[in-house]
Amino acid sequence: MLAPIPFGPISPPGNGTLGSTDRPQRMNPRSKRERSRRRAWLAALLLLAGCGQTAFEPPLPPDLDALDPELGRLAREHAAKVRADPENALAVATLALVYESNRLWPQAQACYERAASLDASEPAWPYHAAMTRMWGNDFAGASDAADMLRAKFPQFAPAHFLRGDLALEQGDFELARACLERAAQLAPGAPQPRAALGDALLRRGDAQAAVRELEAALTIDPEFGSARHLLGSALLRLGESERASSEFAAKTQERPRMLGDAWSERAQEFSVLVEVRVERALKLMDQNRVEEAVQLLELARRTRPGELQVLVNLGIAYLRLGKQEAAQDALEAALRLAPDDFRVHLNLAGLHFSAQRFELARQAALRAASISPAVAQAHFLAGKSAIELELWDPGLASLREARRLEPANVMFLREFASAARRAGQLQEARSTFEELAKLAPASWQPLAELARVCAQQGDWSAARDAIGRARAIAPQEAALAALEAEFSRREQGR
Amino acid sequence: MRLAFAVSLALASCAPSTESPAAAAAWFKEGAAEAGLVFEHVSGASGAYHFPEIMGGGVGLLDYDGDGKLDVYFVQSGSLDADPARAGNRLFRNLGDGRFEDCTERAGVGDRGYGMGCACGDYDGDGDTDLYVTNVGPNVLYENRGDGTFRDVTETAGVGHAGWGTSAAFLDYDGDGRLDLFVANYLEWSTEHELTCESANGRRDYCHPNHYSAPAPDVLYHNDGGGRFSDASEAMKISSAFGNGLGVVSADFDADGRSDIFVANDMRPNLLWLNRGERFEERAMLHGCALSGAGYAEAGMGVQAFDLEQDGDLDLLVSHMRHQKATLYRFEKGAFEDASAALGLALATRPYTGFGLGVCDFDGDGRLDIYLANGRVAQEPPFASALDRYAEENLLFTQAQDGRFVEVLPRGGVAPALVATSRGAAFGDLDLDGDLDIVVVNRDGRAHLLWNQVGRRENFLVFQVLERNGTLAVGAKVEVLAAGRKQSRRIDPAWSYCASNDPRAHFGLAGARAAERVSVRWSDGTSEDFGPRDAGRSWILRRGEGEPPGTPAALPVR
Repeated sequence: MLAPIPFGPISPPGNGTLGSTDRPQRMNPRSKRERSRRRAWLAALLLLAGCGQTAFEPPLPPDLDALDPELGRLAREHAAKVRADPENALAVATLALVYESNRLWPQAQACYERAASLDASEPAWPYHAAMTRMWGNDFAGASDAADMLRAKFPQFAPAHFLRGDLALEQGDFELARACLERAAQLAPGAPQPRAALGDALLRRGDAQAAVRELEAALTIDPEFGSARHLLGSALLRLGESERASSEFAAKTQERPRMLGDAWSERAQEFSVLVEVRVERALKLMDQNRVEEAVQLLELARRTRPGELQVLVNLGIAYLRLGKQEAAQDALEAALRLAPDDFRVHLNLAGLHFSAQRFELARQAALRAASISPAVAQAHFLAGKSAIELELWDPGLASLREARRLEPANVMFLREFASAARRAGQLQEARSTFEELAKLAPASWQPLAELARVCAQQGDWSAARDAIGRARAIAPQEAALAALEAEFSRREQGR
Repeated sequence: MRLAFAVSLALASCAPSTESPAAAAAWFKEGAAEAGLVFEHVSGASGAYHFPEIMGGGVGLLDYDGDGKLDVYFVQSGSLDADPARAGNRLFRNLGDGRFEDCTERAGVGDRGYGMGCACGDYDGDGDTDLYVTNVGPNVLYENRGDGTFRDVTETAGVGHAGWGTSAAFLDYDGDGRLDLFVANYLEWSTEHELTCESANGRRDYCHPNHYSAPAPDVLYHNDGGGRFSDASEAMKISSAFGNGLGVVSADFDADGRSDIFVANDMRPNLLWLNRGERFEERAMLHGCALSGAGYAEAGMGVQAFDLEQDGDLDLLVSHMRHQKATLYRFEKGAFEDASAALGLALATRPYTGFGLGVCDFDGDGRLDIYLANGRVAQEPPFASALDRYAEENLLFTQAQDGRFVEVLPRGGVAPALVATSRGAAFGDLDLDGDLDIVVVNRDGRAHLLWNQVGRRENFLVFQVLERNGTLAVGAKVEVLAAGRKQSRRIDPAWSYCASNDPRAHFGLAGARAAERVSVRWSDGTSEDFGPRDAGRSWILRRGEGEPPGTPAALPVR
């Protein structure tokens, strides 16, 4: 019921430091000669680095002391490890990871390129070097690096994906198609290549083929938001607006667009960035690894005691662990910081509700709703709390508002229907259970509830009909048999 | 040693090309100071990082005194404290010789609200241009009295919405001949409810709009006549959906003869309000313009509608923030598609945060170009300026023969490139030489006036399009056929970001000496032909003075 608060997608990464020469590049189509010269330069750089003619001094950002102290500690610690063992590619790559995790692209790139020169057999290092180029807006350099990587490691799917993704953004849809097709062949269990391939096909004008690839991506991950949206767009192109509409309305999650490698899984390991820590914590909570999420958020709280998103999500995490006091502590700290932030009030409402402090829950939810009237959850919680207090009319009014804001929300419908029945508003309960039954045709429970309501109204015929419909869905369901028996007794008793 | 030498030689010959961009004549020349157009935007930033401080700075071009020359109205932000001494908006009269003079006090338009943007239009139909100013706080409507002065009629008119207004547009949504008003609102915000946020690198910075989770509903005002408006948002269903509204453009997107509205929202899906007569219906998702092509909500700021391929339908350009891209929604086969990558804009604009924008033919070659006024909303290295961590260069693109956009250097079309935190940008022919100039407002900096150096008078055709009563024919479309090529332009000054633009239609004829045919499709769907017109001058096209379409040209007998 509680609403973890993802603070929107993490803003894509930024660049290095003041005075960086990493300027945006012209994106006009480049000559073959220019591309060859660039590749030769890259190769020569790697050769020179590999010759050991230049000692590699692990880079430190010039303004390191002005950055987060923890980042400074990490950078110095791993730089020291590199100095102690300069030929160790993994040590250099780990330093690179510290920088990559914290969006210090020039330093990350330099370290990955060094690691690549030390260990030419590992595709991860040149791959991440290419990625850091891309994040640093050196799209031409990233494209060339990806091309070299594809040539050297033709079985390495992420390289093909990276090149394909860049080609998509460069408007070269044929190249994108070819690269992404290869990536999909090499990584058949990953949805990203199929989704991106669908995008490329759609942009090439082949909506039919795009639909096939996007459906394949969604078979692997039905909640892949971007794939679902692209499928809707492809269907629109084919004139199938109704299907498109369903796709656009489907429940989805945000997923990483890029196909990474095993090293990518560690991409945020050393991040000291608050939004990254919060995002990681939310993902851990999604995976039911709530204790780990708490550890991450407590670490973030120590370094950023005044960060609202940390406190609110910490409160949610503690609540999930059943640690009411700790949850309240975090949320009250958030409230002191932001007394008019609806998210704080909403989560406080959830906290009070779970502790059965229904009046406090209702007040907090109403406050959230007054600050942000368009937030359905606030009305929902206000309604549920009111129903628990047997404040039927205001409770139903709030639940009705939640339904109005999110008409397809099954949970809201179910709660409203149950509340209406408790409040004795049987006709409204009945029509809502009917609606639920239509929305969830594979579920017997709404029909069972419908049957109960009909029985309460004395409409035994309708009650038996509903039971019959439920039986058709779940013929072996013991609860339905018990319900039928109860109805028989009650009817006989009359 | 020898190996090192050999390698370094190899390196030298293989070094990445550091060739300078080809020396190119700058398309624009900055000349605000020389012209006397001296305006310094003040955000009021004092270390508290109040969100409006990073968003403001609008500008409008209007001929307020009816002398045929565009004047300039700057929207000042100032201070979020109710300080009566804070700086106000400024009106500069165009003297006609490349110079301007500040006539704010005489005109009476120096509103001191925390200004965001403006819309210009003749709402009372008396032949002069009135002015609507959006604020963080009550908006203001200035009625032009026709004598060089304005009067604040906000209260009488009933349009003083006290939210966080951003872009606004006058439009006649019900076809009754009176201009109605649409105002985009950004957030439900107040200094008391300000949040504390940090940049990715841990420095205190401005928040992200979704941190507030408090999008503000937009407002649609119906012009009831007699100088009064009524709030029609509920009745017309505009209040049924809203996001963090920043950019607005009104156009007839579905060619049904009724004005529709597109709202660019910041990090929420955009809105496409199709006018059904008795109400508006929101259809952005089903028309493919709510999100990016890959399905992500982008930080919509400025917007413009135009016919990119001259195929009769309207396309959209929306500016976004860094790490996204400027999105060009091209209308094809009944829906919009994200064509930014196909047209060469995606990666070129990704490093920048765009606000004001203009899709215009700056060089008169008959193809549309793009100008983007950029400036960040977050402090994120690398910094383009040691003095201003939000500053960026603006961008200028020209359309190549294959339809793709190519960046024009020097960057932003000015040498040396200007680096500022740009916000509103308005486009118009300020010196009456036929080509389009640009006025850019820069946050906490001086405004820039970019004189167009690349257009040539003989290459342009300019039209002032009027209704029978002499008012601007908002919503009309002018079509020109020259040297076998058809071009069209909409009559509507409300586009870009928090800006109002030259209301005339400008056409570059790529060397043709005349247009063989000029026609106008009026906002009610009827059309008139106006025959051929010579290039190199401005023409008035007034409803009723043309011929019905298809009328054979008269053949004078000699």
